[in-house]
Amino acid sequence: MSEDDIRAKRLAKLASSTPSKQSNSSDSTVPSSTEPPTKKATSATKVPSATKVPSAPTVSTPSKNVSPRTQPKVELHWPSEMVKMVFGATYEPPEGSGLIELSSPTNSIELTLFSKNNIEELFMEILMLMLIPESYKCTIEYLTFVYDNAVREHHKLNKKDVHYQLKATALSNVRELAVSYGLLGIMDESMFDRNNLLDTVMYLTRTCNDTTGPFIMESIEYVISENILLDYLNKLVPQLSKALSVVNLTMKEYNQMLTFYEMLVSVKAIAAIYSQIDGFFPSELEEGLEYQNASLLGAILKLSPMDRIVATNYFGSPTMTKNEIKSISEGIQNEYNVLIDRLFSLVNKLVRGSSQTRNDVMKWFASLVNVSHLRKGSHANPNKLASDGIMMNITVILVRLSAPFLDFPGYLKIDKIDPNYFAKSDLLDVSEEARINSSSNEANTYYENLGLSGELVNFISDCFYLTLTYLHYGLGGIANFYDRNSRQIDQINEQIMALNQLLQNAINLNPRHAAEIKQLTTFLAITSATKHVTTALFDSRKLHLEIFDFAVGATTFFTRLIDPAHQYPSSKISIPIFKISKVAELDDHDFLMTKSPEPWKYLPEYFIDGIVQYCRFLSRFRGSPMIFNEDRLTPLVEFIVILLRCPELVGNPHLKANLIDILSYGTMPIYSGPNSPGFMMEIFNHNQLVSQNLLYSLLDLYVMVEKTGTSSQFYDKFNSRYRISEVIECLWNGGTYIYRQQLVAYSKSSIDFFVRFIARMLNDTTYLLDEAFESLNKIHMYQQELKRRNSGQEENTEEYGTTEELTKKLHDSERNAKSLMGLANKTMELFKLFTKEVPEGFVLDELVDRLAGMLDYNLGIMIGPKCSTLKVEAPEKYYFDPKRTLSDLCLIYYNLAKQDKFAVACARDGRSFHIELFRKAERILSTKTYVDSMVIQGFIQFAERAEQIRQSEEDEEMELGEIPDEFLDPLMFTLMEDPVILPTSKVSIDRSTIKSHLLSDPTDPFNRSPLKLEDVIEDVELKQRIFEFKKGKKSHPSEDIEIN
Amino acid sequence: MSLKRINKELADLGRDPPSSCSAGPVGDDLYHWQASIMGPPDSPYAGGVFFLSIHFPTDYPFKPPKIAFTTKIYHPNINGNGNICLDILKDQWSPALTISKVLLSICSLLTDANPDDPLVPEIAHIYKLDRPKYEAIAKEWTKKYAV
Repeated sequence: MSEDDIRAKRLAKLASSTPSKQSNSSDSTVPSSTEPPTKKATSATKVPSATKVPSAPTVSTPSKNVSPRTQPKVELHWPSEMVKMVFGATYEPPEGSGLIELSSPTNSIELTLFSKNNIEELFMEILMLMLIPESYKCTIEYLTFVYDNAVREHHKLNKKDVHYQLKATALSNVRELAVSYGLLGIMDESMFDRNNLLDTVMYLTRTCNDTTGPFIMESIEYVISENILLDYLNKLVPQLSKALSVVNLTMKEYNQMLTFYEMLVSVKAIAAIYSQIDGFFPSELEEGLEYQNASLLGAILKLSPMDRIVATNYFGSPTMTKNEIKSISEGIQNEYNVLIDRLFSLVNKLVRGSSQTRNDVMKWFASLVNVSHLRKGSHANPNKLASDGIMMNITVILVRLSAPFLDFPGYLKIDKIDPNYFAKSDLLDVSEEARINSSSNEANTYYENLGLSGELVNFISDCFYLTLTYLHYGLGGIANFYDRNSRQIDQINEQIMALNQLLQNAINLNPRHAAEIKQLTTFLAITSATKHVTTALFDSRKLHLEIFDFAVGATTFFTRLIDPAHQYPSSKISIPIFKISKVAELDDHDFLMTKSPEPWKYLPEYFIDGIVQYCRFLSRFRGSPMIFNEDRLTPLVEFIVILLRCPELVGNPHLKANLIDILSYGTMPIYSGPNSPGFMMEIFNHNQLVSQNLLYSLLDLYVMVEKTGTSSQFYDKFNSRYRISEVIECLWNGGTYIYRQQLVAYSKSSIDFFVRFIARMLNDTTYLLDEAFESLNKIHMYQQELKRRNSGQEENTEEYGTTEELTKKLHDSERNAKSLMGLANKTMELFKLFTKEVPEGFVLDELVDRLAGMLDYNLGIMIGPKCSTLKVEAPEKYYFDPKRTLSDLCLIYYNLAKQDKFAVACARDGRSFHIELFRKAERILSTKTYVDSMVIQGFIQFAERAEQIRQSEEDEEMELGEIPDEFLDPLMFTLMEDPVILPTSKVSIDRSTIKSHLLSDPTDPFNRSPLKLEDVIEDVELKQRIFEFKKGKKSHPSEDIEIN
Repeated sequence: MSLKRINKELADLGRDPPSSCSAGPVGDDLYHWQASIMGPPDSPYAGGVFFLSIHFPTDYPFKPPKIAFTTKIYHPNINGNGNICLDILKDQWSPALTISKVLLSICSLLTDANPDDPLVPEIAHIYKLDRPKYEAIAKEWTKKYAV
């Protein structure tokens, strides 16, 4: 096709799509609407007239054919002046002026003073003949230039001018036609030369803020009036999105694009149909990353400083000082505040645009989070998932949208949140989610029975539950990645160190190592940068005050839901709600489930988990919104205590274990200094709901965390118990006596509950001290061997391996010792506190023997012949202070000294009770520790008494001689005192033995079927025979000896 | 407290010893034993004798004994420190179990490793993907450390 053909074709198209019927009216030209202009019937009259323009350039000057009728002479120049001023064109030879050279107008331009036809012809000539100077990169650039000129000239007109009206109309026509042609170009890329749509959009983007704003707004008004707004947006917005999808915060274009976007959605009509624009929700979206790369909202909401490229741009240098990091972080916080304000205002305009946009935006948010569940998974793949940045943005936006209905402190609109949301809406995919305290099936049945499926839900409810979901999968995922990054950074640093060492030691440099170091260093820089940005955003108090407000609002909603009167917070809730009749019910999860309130129990568990994990994560950052925010903190602490205190509310012990972390965070002092209380202490001591229930909750939780159902439960429990101990210590030292009084009361009125707790504490102390001492022993051995090797003595490689292996073993043991000893010390603290307050609680039959055995054994370790095996270099490195441990033991003996049963138990220990050990301990305690001499006195007096008992019991046992097997306890092989039959295995066993076993394991030890103490059957017959056997032996002790 | 129980176990072991293992106190400390296991004939550990240390905690038998290999062994569930990943030594312990029964369980762990719950993931990986290689290394270690 030749150039002329193309022109002809374009002109035909143009003519058909610009029907300028009334040439002298101010009515605008009307470009074709939805249909492609080419398909429109070509008007026979217009095509030739239009084509005539380029084909027949007549040589005529503007002064020709002047009509003297209306035009005063002075005005003859105005049209050509305007051609120059507005169009940058001239009918005369330009002669290097840079003006566009036009052919003479077909009819006299002066006569009609710029009729609409004239103007149209002018535009046509310039556009069709490609007369636009090269300096204009695209057609739109020229059109906006003309538009601006027309506006300017309009302003310059003198209203007193007799021709004012005509001139104004002419300039308006210019403006309107510039807009029309601009639209034509946007609607059909092939309409003009230099009319690439992306270029057009980018030009408007660049200039909308200063010059082309009015042009764009007039274009929009026009397309609205012509009812072709959606067609227009379908051209513009996807292009804008495409451009946006490849920019990030380091490029200045992002700011312009955002401005353009803001301009668009500020038009309510656009916001109203925004979700109908092509690419809003492409049907092929699957992975989260596709949502952010290939949909309109994704492209804009992904803008974030958390973007990896942006992060490395901020924190690119590997050698930054703390101050540099701090000031960059502050910069990021400020920049993010601005960005998120803009993004929020954008989304806010959308959701207020129309109910359709609102619903579709919510649907898009929901779909994105539905495909983002893996963000919380341990093997989350960042190459498929939505990024931290978009998740953070959407979370904050949703939090802000929720703010109006979570109005602290009155919460007057809180009842607008639908508690039966999941009976109506399937927006959020919760099919795979664990429920708070029911099975998914039960939940589904409940919701089905409500028969509300498909009923409309309000925006408030959508917003509330979506925010909770984003809190979990969005921010929760960020926390996961953050931890993973931290671990990775440590690992890489270690690797780099090891490689550097290799390089230094190697005689032949291995180039592979150098390359590896380089690669690792790059990776390290990226990972550290990402971590720094996340840190900066979580350090931002301003931001998290808002999110925390939501979290507090949500907990208030849940507490109100749990409250049988549904009045909280306007009136206080009274707990416990369900009152157990016996302690065993606390461990009967199936039973408790039936007592859990509806519909609370059917809600997805992650609602609670999300809030809890968020608060936990926050505690690691500066400026946490929990501090100096007591009004808001109170409902949160109340919520935590309610969940811990009411066993029927939450089924998952792991979730409860996470709650304690928040409380233990609250024991941290706000100000440094020894007497500064934890920042939650005020609430712990003076909030009635909390102070009346906290201790019970903690003691219960101490037991619950034994089995959390996770694969790491064996070790997790120690950490949770460490935290519980921290809180209890804090309550003890916190000034008021309420908690101590409560403890004494529990030990008297709820013995079963109390014992259940003491047994766990005893188990832990036994295990932890044992393991800690073993690790210390190993460290001792490894250190000795290393010393031997260093002094050149023979290496014991068979036992300890190479020096490298030995060093690794030493490191492992050191790490173990550190954590075990730390935990053991904490448990000992608790032991001291509790034996002091309620010594009688520790001497129940099922406990006292183990307690005595444990204490005696550890005293033996500390004082006995093996104590030298604990000698390690720098014991304080492992929190090991032998004098302290010995003093602790002494104090515990002292606390229990008045309990006769304890003395008997020590006497019967048989393993570690040796009076000499106590005597030696006495000497050490008196000379090397600061233990009160009165305490030491009591300690040794107790031991002497136990020794007396031991001797007399030994004599008694001698009297019994050989005992028939059937009288022996099947586990302990001692003579049974009170035999009972286990209901399923039918084994006869001593009551104290099975009681002791049931303390840590609720099953029959012989067949593992579930067992409760109240189900055992008294073995009356066997008991009688044992009684008679003993009686017989006592009356005829000599017989037996003779037989033997 | 557990003295009688441990004495009883010791007596039973003496009276009716299991075929492939033995166990008894080290010196005069009744609460610290040494045990030995013969490598099962149908395993790459055949021909080796593996020593283990046993420590009874003060709350035995309510809590499990602490058992670890002192002989080096190549096995997905046993690590370099000799620690054994076996459920009955952790959460699945029952006071009705005895040292004798535990040792037999360890024997069967040698024959049938549990690569899905490994203590040493690298060995488990080889065990699953390249059984001959695993067997070759296990045999080599047996020869080197346990014969």
